Order: sequence, then structure tokens, then C-alpha cells
Amino acid sequence: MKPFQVALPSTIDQASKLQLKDASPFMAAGTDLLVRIKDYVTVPDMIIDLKRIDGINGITSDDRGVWLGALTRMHDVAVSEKIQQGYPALAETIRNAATPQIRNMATIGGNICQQPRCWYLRHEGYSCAKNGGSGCWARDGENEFHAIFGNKVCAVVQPSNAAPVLVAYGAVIEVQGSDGKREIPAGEFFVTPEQDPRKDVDLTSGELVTRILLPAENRTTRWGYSEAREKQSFDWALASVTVLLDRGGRAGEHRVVLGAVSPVPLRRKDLEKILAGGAVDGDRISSLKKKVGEGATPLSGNGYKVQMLQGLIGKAVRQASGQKEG
Amino acid sequence: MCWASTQATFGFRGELSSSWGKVNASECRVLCEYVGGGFGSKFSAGREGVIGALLAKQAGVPVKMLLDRSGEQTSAGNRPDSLQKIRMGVNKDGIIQAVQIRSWGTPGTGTGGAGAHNDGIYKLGEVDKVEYGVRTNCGGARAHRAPGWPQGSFALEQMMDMAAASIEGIDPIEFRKKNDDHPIRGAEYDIARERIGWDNDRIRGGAGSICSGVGMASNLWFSAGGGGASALVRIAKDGAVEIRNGAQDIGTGTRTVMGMVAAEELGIPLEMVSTRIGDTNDPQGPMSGGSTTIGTLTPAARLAAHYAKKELLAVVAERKGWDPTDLDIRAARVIKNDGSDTGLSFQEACALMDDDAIEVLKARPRRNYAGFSDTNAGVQAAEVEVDMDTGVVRVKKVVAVADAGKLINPLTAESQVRGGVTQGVSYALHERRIMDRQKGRMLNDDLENYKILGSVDCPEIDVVLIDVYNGKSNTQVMGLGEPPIVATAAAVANAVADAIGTRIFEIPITPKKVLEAIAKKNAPAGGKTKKGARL
Ligand SMILES: Cc1cc2nc3c(=O)[nH]c(=O)nc-3n(C[C@H](O)[C@H](O)[C@H](O)COP(=O)(O)OP(=O)(O)OC[C@H]3O[C@@H](n4cnc5c(N)ncnc54)[C@H](O)[C@@H]3O)c2cc1C
Ligand code: SF4
Repeated sequence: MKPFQVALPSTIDQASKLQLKDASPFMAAGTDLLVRIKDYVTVPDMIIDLKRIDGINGITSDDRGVWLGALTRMHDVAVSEKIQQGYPALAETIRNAATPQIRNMATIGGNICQQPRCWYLRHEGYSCAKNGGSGCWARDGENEFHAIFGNKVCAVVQPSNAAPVLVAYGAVIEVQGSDGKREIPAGEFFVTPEQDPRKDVDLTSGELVTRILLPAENRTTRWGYSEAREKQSFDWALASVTVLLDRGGRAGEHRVVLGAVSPVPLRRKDLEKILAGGAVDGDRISSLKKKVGEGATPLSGNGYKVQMLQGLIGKAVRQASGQKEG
Repeated sequence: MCWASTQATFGFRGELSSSWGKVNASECRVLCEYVGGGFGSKFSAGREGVIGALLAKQAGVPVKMLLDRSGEQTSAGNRPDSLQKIRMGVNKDGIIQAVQIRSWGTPGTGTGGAGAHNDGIYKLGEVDKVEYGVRTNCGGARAHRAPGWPQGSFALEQMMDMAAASIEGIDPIEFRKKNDDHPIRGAEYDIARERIGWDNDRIRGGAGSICSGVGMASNLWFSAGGGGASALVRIAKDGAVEIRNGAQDIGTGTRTVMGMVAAEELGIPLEMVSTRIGDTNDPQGPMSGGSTTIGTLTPAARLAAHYAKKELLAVVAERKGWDPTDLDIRAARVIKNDGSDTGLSFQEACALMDDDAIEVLKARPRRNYAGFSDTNAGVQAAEVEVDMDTGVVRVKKVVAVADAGKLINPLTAESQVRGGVTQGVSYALHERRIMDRQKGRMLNDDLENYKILGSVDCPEIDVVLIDVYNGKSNTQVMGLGEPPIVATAAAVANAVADAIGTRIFEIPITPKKVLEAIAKKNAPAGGKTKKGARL
């Protein structure tokens, strides 16, 4: 590890200006950033530690919904009553993520801004479209854990468990730099490789995530979340499916979002439409299974993810509609 | 002076003094109190060890050499991969007639060490076996807990199940029993059968969304120990007792066991014995490999303690005018053969010495112990649950029936079995090197994508230890470090096949492979297996 300095700004403005000056990275809990630094994947001279900044930690609510401060620990989000009652799929996905140790440290802001886990990207011996070079090693190489959708330019998968669920709830990401605040719908916050392969999220230099809004109007108790991972701890999901039915009590307003199968959380309007077509019965589940792989462009080693999604969508839809495992 | 985390203090010294290391053996002292995990990888000093010592010698200053995770995984050797082809001929009665085995292993850029061991457990009839080492540019081979055995077992035990399935009315356990004449294993099969719930009803063969299955495999080991060890027992005038040997404790509890053997022989409690190990200035000891440490060391320890006690009792007899052959020590009291107390405590007996201490150095006896055994048996059974939707395999339970001669310390014996099974499940489900086909580099030289079993995924491990006084030495003990990892992956693979109704011939058994196997089985052309048959 190369030695680095730590800056401890106490306001958003200071933090922002520090980054504008020499592009130093922000650090929340460091469970992603520090590992990259130790592995020489990110080699900064300075890091900007956000922990002294007031007002971006903790869970609050107002008319618009529930606000998660960016520095709120993943564990605290998962056990929050406000979240468990209003947005249970978020609590569930976070409970499944990483390890208890990591969830006790890591922040929700860091979770949605974490760098993807592609083993070429995190190996100091490779450079590719995502980190300043060109081309993609995974496409013709080892790609078992990589994307099956939207993988032409770069085949990483969005690693955040929370990301697809936030998209399903129509969350809003509040970001702030020294020029002021922006609110970005979660569905637009994650950047596709076609938009910019170097970027994971829509932040410009000097901008940090301050809060995440879970809108009051999108609560629902009819939810399903399913995922598969090789190990139940200390691992990442291979694929996940989030299903919300009748968001905010509005009949037919469903959301289906796939996780860990494409560079950004993948909302599937075609599947939502099938769900809106009528009662969730065996036939409907079959059509969902048939459809879920549509548009996939699997690589040499990850075709199994299509089959996995077929299994997962069945599970999530049955859970959302209150049916037992079949 | 060299502090090394090594499985072989004396071997390490030997390597430093070899032509490569160029240090005089007598100038060199290797110390290793605690290994901190070896599993075969620290069997030799390795380049890293020799380079560290040479640098220190040249520079004349202390040098610390440490491999990080990536260095360990790319430069310090690996458990070799293995590819095997097996054909088996079985007669109608289920007796194996002949087996043909071809195996290809990867010793990296070196040679040797990549064979697959699988032709020792069952009576296989005629065996035609050829092993090939295939050179790869992926780092060398290193020993890994039971080198070559888990690989060999994974293939052969699946073949055993398939052969059993080809004969009407024979279940995999009965088939094994028919082809195995080991008396201890014969009993172990039945214990495993009962405790894993072999005959319970379950949703198997891919018939539900969560399927369950059981599988079995056996093991064999050769670990009664050998020569090359001496122990020094020292009884001081003030009653302090010490046993010394220069070998290391790889984590199996060598230190405790040496003390236990000496204490028992001397007739005093363990707390009164201190053990010193891990120092090449002390008497020679074995390398911790082949699970032979305990079998090699404890006979020397027992002999040295025996003669040290004799010397002490001779002193007592002379000073008190008693008959030395009528004396013994029990519970730290000097007693007569009829059990009566002489009124002397161990401590008081020691105080009668003229000299500072009695020191006895004894080598392991080189006797044949005809009629005793130098092989342990062992059987393992696994129960798995497979999610047919996601391909995720969960090992629910492993029953590990193990024997190791006389069990000196059941606590550490059990812990070896638990460790072996845990590592075996990890091998079955997760562990692999991912080599980039483009640059040939290892992509998972870390603990993130080189996955190992974590606590949440660890199955219930039901350890059944069988105490048989059959080991070929004066302590009747055998080693148990390696045997418990041999059968685990094979048992898991057989259980997965039982659960999903098709076989996976490649390790690790990942969700990807399970889903691919299920898809292949369900594909219209693939329906060769009989419905409902155990595979
Ligand atoms: C073994 C292991 C398993 C894991 N498994 C999972 C899993 O299953 N699911 C999952 O979702 N995650 C998983 N993770 C990832 C883990 O959740 C993330 O490392 C963690 O959420 C990051 O949070 P942090 O606060 O530590 O972020 P940091 O490491 O501090 O930051 C991560 C990145 O985000 C940026 N950043 C942080 N906060 C902000 C902010 N407020 N504004 C702008 N940028 C910011 C940093 O600059 C950095 O680039 C796993 C991690 C490990 C080590
Ligand atoms: S998947 Fe993306 S990050 Fe990985 S090698 Fe390809 S371009 Fe690079």
C-alpha cells in the first residue's frame, strides 16, 4: 500500500472543494475504498473522510417519505422500523449482503457508490475500458460472474444489493457539491457503460451523495425479493429479482428490477406488463420465466444466469403475491 | 537463527544448509513454536524461506520475509488440479473385477506430486493405472492436506456409486461393503448410514424445488509413524519435569499430547509436565507431514519417560533401601506394587537426587509390532439440499466416522476431523483458481474470489471417533490430520447426484454447474438414466 493522507472536512462544501482540487476520493466506512488502496487498484495521495460531516447520517422522515443519510450504516437501515414497515424489500436485501461485520461498518451511501467487482478491474495487471484503457477482458475471458444484459462495452455487474431495490421503490438520490444540490431518480443514478464506461454513478467531481429518499407514495406491503449466491456470507449475489406489486396501493403499478446481471439495475417493463395482465397463477409465472431471459446476451461462462433468473423470478413473484414456495 | 512458520524445523534447517542455502547446519537454529496453519504448504522452506535467510546472512541484519495473499497463491505452490478417467468392471454379484484409471495432474512448472490416489481403499481386482504430470505455467505443486487423495476419492467414489447403480438391487453402501474387507470400516459404514438418515424418505432426484440427497465415501491413511525422532525427559531435583523435542506443532496439539504421554508414564498429572518443542537445538523430531507426527513422537516420549521414571525410582530405592522393582509412581505419589503408599510424594522423591536432574534421551523404538496396524479407516456421509431454481447447494450435515488407533486426546482428534470436513466441504463447493485464458494470470489471488467455506455455510458436523488400540507402536496411536479431508468432497458429490438426479463430475460444485447439469438432464436428448434410480 502506498502511504496517503487523510483529510477530515466538517462541511459538504469543504469536502467538495477538496475533491475539486485534486480528485481525491471520498471515503465513508472504507470497506470498499481501503481494500482497493491495499490492492493498488486505486492509488490516491489523499482520501477525503466524510465522517465529520453533520447532517448526512441517520434516518428521518417527512411528508415526502423516509430519508436515509448517506453515512447511515447498512445494519441500521436493515433494522430500522421505518424501513421494515414501509420498504421491507430494502431491509431484506441489506440483510443478505456481505457479512455482519461489513454491514456494521459500511454505509448506504458507500454501498450505492462502491466500485464493481470485476476481477480484471481489480487486478493491477489489466487495464480496460472501465479504468482508462480500452476493450473488455471479461468478454473473451473469464466471465462467470459478469453481466448477461447490456454487456457490449463493459460486462461488470452493479454490485450493490441495495441498488435494484432502490430503483424499484423509485428512490431519489440527493447529491450535493459546492455548486448546490441535485435530486436524481435512482433509475438514472447508475450509469451504463454506453453512457460512460469509466463512471459507475452520476456524480461529477466534487459531488457527494448526501441523502436517499424513499418516497412515501411508493410504499407497499406486497413485495418479493429473491437472490442467489454461492456462499451465504462473505460473497456477492449472482443474480437478484425485486418485485413490488401495487406500489402505493395503486392497482397494477408493479415494478420488476433485476440485480447483478447487468452494469446497472435492470428495470423490466415487459415483465411488469405481464404481471399487470391478471392474477398471479402458474401460467403467468411461466410467461414471466419465458420472458425474463429475453434480450440477454450471455458470454461464454455466464449463460446459467438466465436459468437462475427464471428460478428467482418465480420465487419473488410468489412471495409478493403471498403464495407459498411451489 | 531463523524463526519460521514451518511444518519441519529440521527439514527447514536442512534446506538452509543444502548447496542452495549455503549455511552450516550447526550454525543454524530454526525455531517454530506455533505454525499457525500449514496444511502441507509449509512442508519445505520454499524459495521464500531460503531467500529470507540468505538475505539476512548477506546483509548481516535481521530480515523478515512475508508473503501476502497474492504471493502465497501465485508463487508458493498449489494443490494440483487433477483430471481422471475411470472405467470399472463389476460382475453381476457386485464384485469389482477390474479398474482402469488414467489421471492427469498439474505440477505447475515442476514435476511430481500431481498423482491421484484412489486405488488403495477398495478391492478393485485388476488395476491398470497410469498417472501423467501435465506441466502448466501456473506455479508449482505443493502438498495440501492428504496430497492427491481428495482428488482421487472424488473420482473413484462417484464411479463406485455409478457402478452400484448399474446393478439391480444393490445400494451404494452395500456395494462398498462387498468390495471392502477392512474390519473397522465395515462397522463404520453402518454407523454413518444410521446417523445421516440414509434410509429416510426425501424429495430426491430433482423431483421438487428443493431436493435433498445423501452420499457416502470412505478413506484410508497410513499414519502409525516412523523413525527419526527422539525425546528428552528431564526430571529436576526440585520436581520440575520437562519433555523436549525439536519438532513443531502444526496445530494438531503435539505439545499437549507429548506432555500427556510423559505424564501418564511418569504417573503425575499433566500440569506438572512442561513441554518444549519447535527448536532444532532440541532432539530431532519429524516433519509434520503424512499425519505421522503423533505416531512418530509419542513412542519416543513414552520410552524416555519410562526410563526417566526408572532412574528416579532407582535413586529412591537406593536412598531408602527399598527394592526398585517394587516401586512405581501414581498420582504423583511413590507407591509399592501392592498399591500401598510409601509416604513419599513425587516431589520428595526428586529431592533425594544427588545430581541436579535426571535426563533421559530415547529414540523411537524400531520394533515391528506384528499384528498391529498402520492404516486408519474412516467413512463419511453427507446430506445436502439443492435449490433446483438457483443451483445453490447447501451441505446440511456431514457424519464423519474416524479412527486413529488409540485416541490420546479426543478433543484435539475431534477438532482435526471437524477441520478436515470443513476444508473438504470448501473444496467441494468453492475452491478453485481462476486463470485468465488470455494472459495466464490468476484472477482470484485473493480471499474474495478464491472462495472458502464460511461459518454460515458450515454444515452440522457429527464426529464419531472410534477408539481402537491397533496402532503399530508402544502408544498404539495413529495420526488424524489428513484422513478426514479425503472423503468429504466425494461424499458431497454423491449426495448432490442423489438430490438432483444427475452427476457433476467437476469440482467445485457451483450453482452454475448445478444449473447446467439440470438443464442438460431436462433437455430432450439427455434422458438416458432410469427414472427413480439412484445415480
Ligand atoms: C466480503 C465482502 C462481501 C460483500 N458483499 C456484498 C453484497 O453481498 N452486497 C453488497 O451490496 N455489497 C457487498 N459488499 C460491499 C460492501 O457493501 C461495500 O463495500 C460497502 O457498502 C461500501 O460502503 P462504505 O461505507 O465502506 O464505502 P467506502 O469504501 O467508504 O466507499 C465506497 C466508494 O463509494 C464512494 N463513496 C462513499 N460514500 C460516498 C458518498 N456519500 N458520496 C459519494 N461517494 C461516496 C467512495 O469514494 C468509494 O469509491 C461486500 C464487501 C465485502 C468486502
Ligand atoms: S467487464 Fe468492464 S471492468 Fe471488467 S474487464 Fe470488461 S470493461 Fe473492464
